[in-house]
Amino acid sequence: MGILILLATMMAIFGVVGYLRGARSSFVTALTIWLLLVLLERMGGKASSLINGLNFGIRFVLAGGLQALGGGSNTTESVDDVIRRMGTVPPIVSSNSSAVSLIIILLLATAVAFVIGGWGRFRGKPSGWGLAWGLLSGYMVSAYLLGPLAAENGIALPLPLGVSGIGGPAAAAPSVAPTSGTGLVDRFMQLVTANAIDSTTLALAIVIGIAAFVIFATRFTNRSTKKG
Amino acid sequence: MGPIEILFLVLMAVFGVVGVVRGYAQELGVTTMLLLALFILQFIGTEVAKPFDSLLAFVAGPGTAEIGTVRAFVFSGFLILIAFISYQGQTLSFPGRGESVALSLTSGLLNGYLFAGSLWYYLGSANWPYLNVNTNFSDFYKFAWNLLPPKILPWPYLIGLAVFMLIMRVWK
Repeated sequence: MGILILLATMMAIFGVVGYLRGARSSFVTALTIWLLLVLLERMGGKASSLINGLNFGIRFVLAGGLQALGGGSNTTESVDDVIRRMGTVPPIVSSNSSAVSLIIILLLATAVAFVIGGWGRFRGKPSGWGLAWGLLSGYMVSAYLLGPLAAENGIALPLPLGVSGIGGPAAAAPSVAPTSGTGLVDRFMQLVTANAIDSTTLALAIVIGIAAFVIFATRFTNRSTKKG
Repeated sequence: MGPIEILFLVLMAVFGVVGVVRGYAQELGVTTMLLLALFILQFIGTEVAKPFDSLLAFVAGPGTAEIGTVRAFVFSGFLILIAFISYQGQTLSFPGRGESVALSLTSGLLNGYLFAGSLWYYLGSANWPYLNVNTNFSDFYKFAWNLLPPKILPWPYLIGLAVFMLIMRVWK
């Protein structure tokens, strides 16, 4: 029952956003989400390697890797020097946490879909069709996320064509589907607890996050001429 | 996941939807008010706890459980009152047109976290008085408990953040 309430809540949020954005924008968002989910299915167990590879690439660039690649008479040694200087780069996501990496990528993909759907050319007046497409988008994302939890409780959440969900037959990683009763929420909590930080750091992180959000929202977005 | 967690997650989501409809410019005003309210409650709960508990003892009696119950209701009632005034009263709008759905949703969810999370903490600290709650809490409840605003944010952080919000409000 709780899973269905969560599903309905997520669908409602997406539905309201879809209604406000208009039919065309919501359709583009739903289509983008579906395409990205299909792409995510094809990635399967490579999700964690992709995230760790991205992390390595960013650190390589920050360590001066681009300069090493681009210039110098002995380019190979320069690149080796950079890699040696970087030392051991610990993986962000372990290979046993494929489900976690899939969730991270899914959330990023959803954000990308919203950005694409929110492009000026697609936006229109609020409409009922926007609500419908928004509900569909919300269902796809939440069914993908909550599918394993729902299955453990005997609830089937069918997904669109080409998408079988986390732990489905198209997923290549064997450790993706939790079968011993510990759902994705439990694994997420274990992941956070394993990397637990003290309350002072957490408080600072929250305060800095809120402050950064307020600065961004008030200083770097369209500003009205009147205040209050 | 138990009913309490689901209720508060749904409440957060409702705040998120309200945020999308109202716009982030207005939601940030509510955020400021909630931060000030939480600062007052945290300050009372830590710096003037003993005198305040003595005052509550006049109403509730000397028992620790009774004092805790009245404290939970007073704190929750104050927070609900501030939230009501913030949404219903004259709007403290921030600069910006507030048209971004992502920013509006985020600010709405932030307000939901501050409001619902704090209610959860205050009522939970008093063991859910007068509510037939099964205290065999789920792992998610115990996990989320450590992330609730009154659990994490001490009053200096809250007042600092509230002052920062007010500066951003008036800064041209």
